[in-house]
Amino acid sequence: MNRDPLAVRITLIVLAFLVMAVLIGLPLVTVFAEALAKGWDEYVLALIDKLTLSAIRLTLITALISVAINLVFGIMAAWAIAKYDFKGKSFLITLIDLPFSVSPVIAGLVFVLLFGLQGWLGPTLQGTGIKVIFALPGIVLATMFVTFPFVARELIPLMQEQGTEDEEAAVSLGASGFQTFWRVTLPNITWGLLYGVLLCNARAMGEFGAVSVVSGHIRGKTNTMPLYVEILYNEYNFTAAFAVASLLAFLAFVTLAAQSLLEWKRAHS
Amino acid sequence: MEKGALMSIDAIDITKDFDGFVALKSVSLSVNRGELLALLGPSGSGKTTLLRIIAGLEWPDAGDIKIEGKSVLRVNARERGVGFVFQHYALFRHMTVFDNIAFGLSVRNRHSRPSKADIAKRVHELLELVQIERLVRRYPSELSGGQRQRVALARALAIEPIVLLLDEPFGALDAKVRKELRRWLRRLNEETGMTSIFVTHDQEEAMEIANRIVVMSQGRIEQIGKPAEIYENPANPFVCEFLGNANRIALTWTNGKMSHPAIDLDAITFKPRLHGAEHVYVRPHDIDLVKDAAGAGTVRFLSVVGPIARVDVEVMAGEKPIEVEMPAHRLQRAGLEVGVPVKLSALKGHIY
Repeated sequence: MNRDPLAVRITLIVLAFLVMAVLIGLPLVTVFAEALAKGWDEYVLALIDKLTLSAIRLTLITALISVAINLVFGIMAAWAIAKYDFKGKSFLITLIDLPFSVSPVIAGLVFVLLFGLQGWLGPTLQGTGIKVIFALPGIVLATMFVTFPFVARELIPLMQEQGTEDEEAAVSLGASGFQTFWRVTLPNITWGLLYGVLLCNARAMGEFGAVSVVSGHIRGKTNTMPLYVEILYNEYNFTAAFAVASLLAFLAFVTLAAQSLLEWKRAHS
Repeated sequence: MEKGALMSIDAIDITKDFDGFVALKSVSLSVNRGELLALLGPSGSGKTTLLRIIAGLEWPDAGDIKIEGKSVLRVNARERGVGFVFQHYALFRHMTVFDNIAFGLSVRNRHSRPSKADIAKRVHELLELVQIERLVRRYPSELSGGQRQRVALARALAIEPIVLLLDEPFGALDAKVRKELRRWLRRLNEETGMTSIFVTHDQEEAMEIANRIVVMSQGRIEQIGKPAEIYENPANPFVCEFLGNANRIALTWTNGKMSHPAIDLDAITFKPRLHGAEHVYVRPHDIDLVKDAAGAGTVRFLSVVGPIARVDVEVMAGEKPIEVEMPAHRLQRAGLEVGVPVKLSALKGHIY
């Protein structure tokens, strides 16, 4: 048992709560207070504004596409790493982690250098008429880059721990590759997968830096919610800025609640 | 042709190398239809690798596997029709016992898949066979080790395999359950006549239930034979020491006669070509002990477990003691106690 004096324990616990209150609680309260400073009507008006709705739509579409693609790639990468032995495995793991250590701004810039008008692939793309930078594809690419590790990172240790015996058993019982994946592998990783998707989604919706570089901030077209919050704020439109921000804060609450639920589920499965 | 028809599985010159570690070196083995065969050996002997190659979970670098006379190297595990029971059961944890057992039938394509009612009927037959009918709605996490193993067996049997392969099937179970399941496996083999191969490192287990034992070591087969045959006539020192205990006694040769300063070896017969061998291997129960003030040995340790008494006799200071086993009731009659001087004579031994 813990043998620290009671005073020490209480002080530490109180301090921890205090820090959390100042760093997280206060800002959150501020967001909602500012958003509602001029009353509910103003708040709702700010949210149903055409440009706000467009930003919300873009954020949802971006998150949907990038989470879906990362889900597939994440499962594939985790499968390869956990179930096969090959040279360069640890290099692949490092590579998957790279987005965590690279500044999102750099990630954005890389895509501009690749797909921008002056970029390597710029002239080719222009010929085909496909626009990547200052358009949805660029925003999705930047978001995917930043959020790639979440699903894979969650699955690799889980799949490594589970090994390949279940799959071998399924195959020896006559299951095809697809049946094995669908009926054995996927159910085994459900909770880890949902957890990864949840974190991936939260980050995808909240990403600012990388998206900011590639988006071009065209109102009603390439503004995601975080970008739109900044624009509104810079224009001293505080109520609208905090109203949109409150949606992102609300997303954080939902994520947190879902996270706790998943952790509980995982512990009990 | 007649002989071929009896063979269920043939492994021919199987070689397997894992990144420089040679797991199997040109191993050949024929398994008769309907027999219960044990692959016995220490860890790293290649027994599990051989089992996995037969199942199609691993591929040999060289050699061929034939099931019922046909090469199956081009047939993957899915189509081989082999029932495999894993060491740690590998039950599907999100499925009930019922769904686990039904899995092999439910993944069949539409043409060969039995109806739902037929699957349920088959599952219940199997549950009855492995005696766990009442657990049908449980999940693997709610079962004991022995119960899980029974589910794993039923699941493998559901696909009506040509051959049943078991990897250390009873290794993780406690002694009582292990004994019960061993007998059960033996009976299953006798009743269904299904060719079964199991891997084990427990010589007692292999001796108790197998029709034939394949002793393996370092990727090679050391000996194949019936349990009693192997025990009585081990082909080499490894087999002799691995199947039951054996005392390794260093020999001195004078005029074509072998001797040991402290143990009487006169009763041991040997072929002339074995003249000059360095050691004789004598099983603990093949040594006779007599209390003798002039004897060269001293009793150092005694233990009686049920009907068997184990005695450690020191014959030379600093050397490994000689292990002797005798019926417990003889111990007292012989007046043996720790510290008593004794005369040793070997009744039987193996020379290589």
